[in-house]
Amino acid sequence: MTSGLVTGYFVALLAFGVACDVFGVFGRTNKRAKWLLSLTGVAALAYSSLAILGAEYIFFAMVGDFILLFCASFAFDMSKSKSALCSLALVLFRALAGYCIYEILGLFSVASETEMIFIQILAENVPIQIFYGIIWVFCQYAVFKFCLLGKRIKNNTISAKYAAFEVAVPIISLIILAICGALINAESEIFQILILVVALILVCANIAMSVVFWRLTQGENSLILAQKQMDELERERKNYQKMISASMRSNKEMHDLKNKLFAVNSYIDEDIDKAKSALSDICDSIYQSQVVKFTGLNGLDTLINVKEKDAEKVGVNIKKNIKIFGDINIDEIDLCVVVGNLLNNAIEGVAECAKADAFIQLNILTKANMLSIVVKNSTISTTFELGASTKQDNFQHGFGLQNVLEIADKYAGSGIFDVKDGIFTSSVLLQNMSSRDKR
Amino acid sequence: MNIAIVDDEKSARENIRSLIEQNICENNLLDIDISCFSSGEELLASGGQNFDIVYLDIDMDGQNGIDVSSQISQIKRDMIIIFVTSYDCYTKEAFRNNAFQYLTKPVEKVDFDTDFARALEALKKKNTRIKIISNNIEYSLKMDSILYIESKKRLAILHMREGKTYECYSRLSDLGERLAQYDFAFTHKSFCVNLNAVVGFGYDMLELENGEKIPISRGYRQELKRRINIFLSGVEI
Repeated sequence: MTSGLVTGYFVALLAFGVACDVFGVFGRTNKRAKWLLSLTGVAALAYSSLAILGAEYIFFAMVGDFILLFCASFAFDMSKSKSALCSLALVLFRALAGYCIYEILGLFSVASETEMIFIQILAENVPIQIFYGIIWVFCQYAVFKFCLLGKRIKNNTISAKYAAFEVAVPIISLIILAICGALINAESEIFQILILVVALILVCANIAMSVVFWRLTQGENSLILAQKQMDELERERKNYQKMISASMRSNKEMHDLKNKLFAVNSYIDEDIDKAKSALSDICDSIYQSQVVKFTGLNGLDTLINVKEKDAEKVGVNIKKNIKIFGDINIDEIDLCVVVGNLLNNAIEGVAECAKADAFIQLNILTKANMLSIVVKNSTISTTFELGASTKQDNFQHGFGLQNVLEIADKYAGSGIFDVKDGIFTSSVLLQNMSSRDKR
Repeated sequence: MNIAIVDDEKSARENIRSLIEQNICENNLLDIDISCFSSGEELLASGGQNFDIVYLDIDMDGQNGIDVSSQISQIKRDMIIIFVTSYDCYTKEAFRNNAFQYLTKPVEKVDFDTDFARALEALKKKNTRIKIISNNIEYSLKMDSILYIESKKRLAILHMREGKTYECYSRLSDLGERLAQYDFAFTHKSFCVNLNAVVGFGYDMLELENGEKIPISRGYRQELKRRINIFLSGVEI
């Protein structure tokens, strides 16, 4: 017969499994986290029903419980950062619920021999019961912290000193509690109450630490994100620099074409095969360096050509309205970063749309010292959040439009992004003046 | 409304003419006269002051389109000149002559219609008048001739392109609201600017075509830049 103690414990496990499944199916998490949560839930359900049948394996159950907790914490961590708080709440709820049911059923049911000893110790006095409850919550909390931190350190969203604190504090608390546990057999009731007070203070200290560190890491997160964004901008700039140099090289090649043609002309009379081969080389090089001109800026034109090909891959032609009056004085790399990011964003957006409605419209217009870049594209999103990304690994992306804003600010301009009636509009206004001339 | 087409190639002239005629039919437009000229000299000889929109080819025998546009805009400043060109490099010059737009040959119907609609809209806005009473005299002023309006105490001061100013007792917020649909935007609670006259901007000032700098206050910055972008791109944002 199943003892109340163990039943209580596994009922809590069951509740945990259900909660995992509900979060997994309905929660606002990413795909991988959803899978892991759902699987954890299913495993917890299967495991609890099995364990209820073989009630004696309480310690085995505890180990299994930790593994499941580990998986769930990881799954929550994969999802959006706000869910970390939800998962902490879930851990506390699970541990407390487990303990309460465990207590209530344990006192009124028949238990096995080993469990009886355990129950007897617990039943001796209330402070000890609460004390073990606290130890249990702490254990789970430490596990939770530990598995959260691994990923956050890897992602650079938390520095080592905070990480050390966050793991050390619950573990030190556990050690203090364990020492207290050894002393709790002392007869004096006052001593027992004192230990309980210490335990409660430790709980409060841990909660306070969590709140303080959560706030600190938020601050540090934004610094790290800003740094990442700058790195990303620098990387993009380097790429575009390469592209501009390449397009300048191909321009030079086109210049050399005339000389090559003269050479071919002279070969024709002497060596027809040589002439053929030289001509074929020229044809290849022309094909490679064929860039349709839109703006008169080599780099930007190459970029638009490349993006047009990318858009064609998702079955969309970019409609262009490009009218440049006069000289563009904006650093070409900066312009490439803006146009490149807006088009990348648009191509990603239309890729999710039904083919029939998909469109991308690129407008670049200048007037006097002002330059306007507007990109419109169809989208299935209904909301827009700056810094969020549609890509799987949220932390590594979402910098594109922030980089655009950075550049808009550099040229005293503005960047506005909006979604309305299935159309995403990005509009960027720049002062058509090199950034060195200003501020 | 009078439209002139100046191109030394007959086929190009006919193309633009047929595009305009198609547009007139499609949109039921009235009172539009189209005149064709085979050279800039011919246009200038006709006086040129009657035209509202001129489609001007850049690469012509004799005087090129750029020179013609400089001369003609001296005759009539608010004429809308749309260059038609197959030469991208000319656009740098065209800009200096305050071109409204340019079309590249061969002119596509879609591009033409978009530009034509914009030109008509701009023309309508330019020709709209506003009535004000200044020093007990009623004036009817062309919207486009106002550079900006400044509010001082209970007075609204209208600064005109030609350098004149008119003072009237009116709240700038009321005036600004009426003018918003005619490409006017607030830069500051005391300044409302004609976006047609804006040639540049910085973090906290707008530069006008006469070189004057108008302050931009923080509260109006974002909305102002959105308005400028809509004005430039012609796209609703």
